Amino acid sequence: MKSSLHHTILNFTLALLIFCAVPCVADNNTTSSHVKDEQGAGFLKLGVGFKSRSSPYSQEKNGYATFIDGRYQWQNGVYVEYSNGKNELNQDENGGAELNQGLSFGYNFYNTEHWNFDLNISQAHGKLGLGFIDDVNSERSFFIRTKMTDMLGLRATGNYSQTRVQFIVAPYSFNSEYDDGLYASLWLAQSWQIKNWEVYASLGAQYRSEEIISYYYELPEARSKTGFADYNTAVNNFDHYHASAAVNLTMQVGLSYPISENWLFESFIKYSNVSDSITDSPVMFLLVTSEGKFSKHISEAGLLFSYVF
Amino acid sequence: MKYTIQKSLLDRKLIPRLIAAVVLSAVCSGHIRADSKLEANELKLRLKPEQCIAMRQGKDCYTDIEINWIATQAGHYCLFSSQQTHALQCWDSSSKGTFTEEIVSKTDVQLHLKRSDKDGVIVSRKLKVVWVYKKKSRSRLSWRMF
Repeated sequence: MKSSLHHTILNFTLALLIFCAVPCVADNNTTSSHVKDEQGAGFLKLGVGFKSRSSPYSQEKNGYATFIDGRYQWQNGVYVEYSNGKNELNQDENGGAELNQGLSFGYNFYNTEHWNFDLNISQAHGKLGLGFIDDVNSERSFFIRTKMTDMLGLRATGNYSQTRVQFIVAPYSFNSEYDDGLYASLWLAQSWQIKNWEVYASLGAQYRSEEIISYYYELPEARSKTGFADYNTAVNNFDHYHASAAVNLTMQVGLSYPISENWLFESFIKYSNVSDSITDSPVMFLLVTSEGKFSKHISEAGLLFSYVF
Repeated sequence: MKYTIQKSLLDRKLIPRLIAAVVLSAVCSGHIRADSKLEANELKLRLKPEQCIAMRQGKDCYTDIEINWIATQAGHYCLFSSQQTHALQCWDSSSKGTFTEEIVSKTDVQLHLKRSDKDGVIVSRKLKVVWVYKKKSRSRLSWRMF
């Protein structure tokens, strides 16, 4: 079952890449086939504002927040990207960690008029340091600590006027604590210009294979002991949970308005439906049902002013 | 002898004529300067706002512009834009005017006020189009979807 799903995703992605690449190659007969930036290019955007966020990974937060979004690509095709605060599922300030952190880097090896192909390294899952202390029933307390997973893969991004599509297939993990694993994602985004406002909406699906989900959301006794020993006695009291692969769906709408040549007003709403194979984990189950401070899924809204360099 | 005659001529006729010529020339040149100064001040054209801010280079920029002009002399004036050949608006026997319109442009727009009965009397202002994201080599550089 697991391998057939892997094969399905890989085949589907390969088919999409071929579907994208064939017209590109055909186009190349008449246009430049290997478009390289003549010089380094990029942008950096720093923002401050208000953000409201609820998540199964950390307590609900409402208040001041900072936002960073940037990308730079050198002439030789090497690029680095960072996004924190608005556009990514990122690490929480209070020590909790979430699915993706905003840093990725790689090599842009092939471009056409509409498509960019990158060898990309990005975080498929952030490090996890979740703890639960039950003063009344101490046997329910636990702590789990896992490392982040960076994965190497292929990224294809298509730009058609106001529409953008992106595929990522990352089969190689740099996490030494488990083998294999596959991360894949598909994003579709559309923007509209309404006077000088830019309105956008995006829809994304992220697949994480069983190996990844098992590492983060199952609780084998050996791994839990890497946390605080005092809280690990409860682990054996959980039903042994076998995680399956997870698909998270994310929707986002937002708008931007240029106040000046460098300043933007921005707002966004984002919702991520977290897969049952994550939320059904005893770890997450305890978190989302404790004291009502955690939500089952991830939702965010923000208002910010950004300075674009 | 010649010298004496010339001196005499200078003393009697040329010197007053030269002085008169110099004075006249000075008056005339001053008058011309004053006149050109008047011409320069004759028309004032003001744009509000003076720039249009778009999100991205190459995209249309929208602005509701208010154009005010004032002249020291009433006349027939017409307002022109670099976006079109015909006048945006003309005014008869007027010494001031206001024009409002939504301008949509990807590039700077020149606005000219001309006086139809005096060729060359013209005043220009530029509506500058600026953008937050400059057009780099790839459009994706300034836009992320997640």
